[in-house]
Amino acid sequence: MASAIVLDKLTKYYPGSKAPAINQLSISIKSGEVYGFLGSNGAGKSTTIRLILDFIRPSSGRITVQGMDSVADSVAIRRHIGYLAGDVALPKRVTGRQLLHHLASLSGGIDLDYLGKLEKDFQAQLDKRIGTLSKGNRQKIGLIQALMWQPNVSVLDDPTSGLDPLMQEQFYSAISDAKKRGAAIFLSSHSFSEVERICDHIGIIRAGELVYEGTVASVAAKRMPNWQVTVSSKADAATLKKSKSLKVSNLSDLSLTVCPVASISSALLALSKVEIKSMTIKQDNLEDEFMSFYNQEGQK
Amino acid sequence: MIKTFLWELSRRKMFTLWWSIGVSVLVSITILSFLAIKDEAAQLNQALSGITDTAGSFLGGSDLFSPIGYLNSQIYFILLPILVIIMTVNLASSLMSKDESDLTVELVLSRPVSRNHLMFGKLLAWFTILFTVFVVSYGVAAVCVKIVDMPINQWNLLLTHAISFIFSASFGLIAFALTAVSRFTRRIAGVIAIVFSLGGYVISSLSGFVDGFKFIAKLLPYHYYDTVQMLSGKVDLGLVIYLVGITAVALVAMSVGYSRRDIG
Repeated sequence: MASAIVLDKLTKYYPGSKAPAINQLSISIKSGEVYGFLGSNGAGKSTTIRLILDFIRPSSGRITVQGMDSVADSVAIRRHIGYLAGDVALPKRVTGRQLLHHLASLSGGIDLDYLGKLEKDFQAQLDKRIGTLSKGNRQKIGLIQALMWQPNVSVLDDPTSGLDPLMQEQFYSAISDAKKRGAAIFLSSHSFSEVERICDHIGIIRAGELVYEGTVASVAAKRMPNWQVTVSSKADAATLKKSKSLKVSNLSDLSLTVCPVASISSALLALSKVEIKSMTIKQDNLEDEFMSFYNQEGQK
Repeated sequence: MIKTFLWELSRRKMFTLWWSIGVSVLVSITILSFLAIKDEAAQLNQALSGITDTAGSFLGGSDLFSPIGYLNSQIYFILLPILVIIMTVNLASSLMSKDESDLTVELVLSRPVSRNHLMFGKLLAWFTILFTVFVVSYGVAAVCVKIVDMPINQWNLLLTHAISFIFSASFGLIAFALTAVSRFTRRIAGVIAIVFSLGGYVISSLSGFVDGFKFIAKLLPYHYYDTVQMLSGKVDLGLVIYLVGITAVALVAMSVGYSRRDIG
């Protein structure tokens, strides 16, 4: 399938800064693919997105969207893009409906039935002044304006920020529909769990550089479980600590947190050599796990 | 461009309304106050004949109470320009930099709208609002001049009112251009434009007495802003050159600068 978005050795220096905000970033996203872009604050996610939309210009490198150059053909490209900014900024004195109709008039109109469907699905309050709405309700308007075009390419910066779980589900459903339609979706997020759920590929950015890229499945395979075990004696605890197959930390003398170093099989073999009184799988916090992975990859 | 223009106009209805009312009220009160001194204009001018040239230059001349002297000193020399400069600079920098600083400009620029279409739509809105305030305030001024029976040619009044607005708007255009070509904030662009305008007024007023200011004054637009001449139907060529020049430079700079720079 053809690439909908291609970032080719993209570099961006901000004026007065010696370090690049984005350094030699190359990413390719195919039509019908959801690409999750992960990174901590200041890693370069929003800069990348703003380069794609041509709000800012690259210092070097090139972006193409649906085969068109992001700078030379920026107006034509934006006929195909739905965009949601991180921490979406909307004019406060107008209603959501007035804003959406204004944006629609700039784009040559929209499918009003689809707008009605989005309004209903997201339970959006389009007839109140935006300034009177909560963050979550403003985010819904932001999402509707990004999705109402039924675009071929969606660029979404932290799209579920401020949404309650019910609305997050609506958003995931809308993304699923867009994917079935063959749209390419570039989505930045802080949430590993969200990316794991809806994305096909992920890229992890750190200090402006892509430190990992792969499928979500390959990232999941890298994850090792954590077990909380209680052993019957201090000698058993000492045995586990000496094992090269395990990373062990003490909760108390006999209660330990155990994590495989290389493989689960070798870790289980090491555990089988001691008497275990109880064993539970510790539920990982996915966000912590992502950050651990992120830091680890970044140090390479 | 037209859609941006209409959107901006609709968002600034109240701004247009209140400035139209405010400028018209000040102009009408000032002109109607002429009734109180109309019969003693000659004596008052004679009483103030000893006014120093320095003080006179700050007030627009030593003739303060003849119909032309009154309109010049009380409205067109300083009051109306200051009001309109404040309005136009504030409006220009708000139109351009507010949307950028709060990032709402990204919403519009994420749609198939070129940067120059966006900017010229805003510029057209700026001009239309200014023109509306001009038309309303001129209408009020013309009626009030009739009411107090000032022997002023209506064409000359229209010319003076229009040039006064255009001259003041040139500083708004400077603020507009500054926010278009750079990431100047609304406040910085406003301060630069207002300092340039009012600094020019002070330097031009002092240039007759401070030799060091004579050359600098010739480089500043206020030097060529002679409303007594305008009320008599003449416009200084230097002022025309300044207005045409600043407009051309600002338009070129903003269209080149805004299309090339980083937004936000």
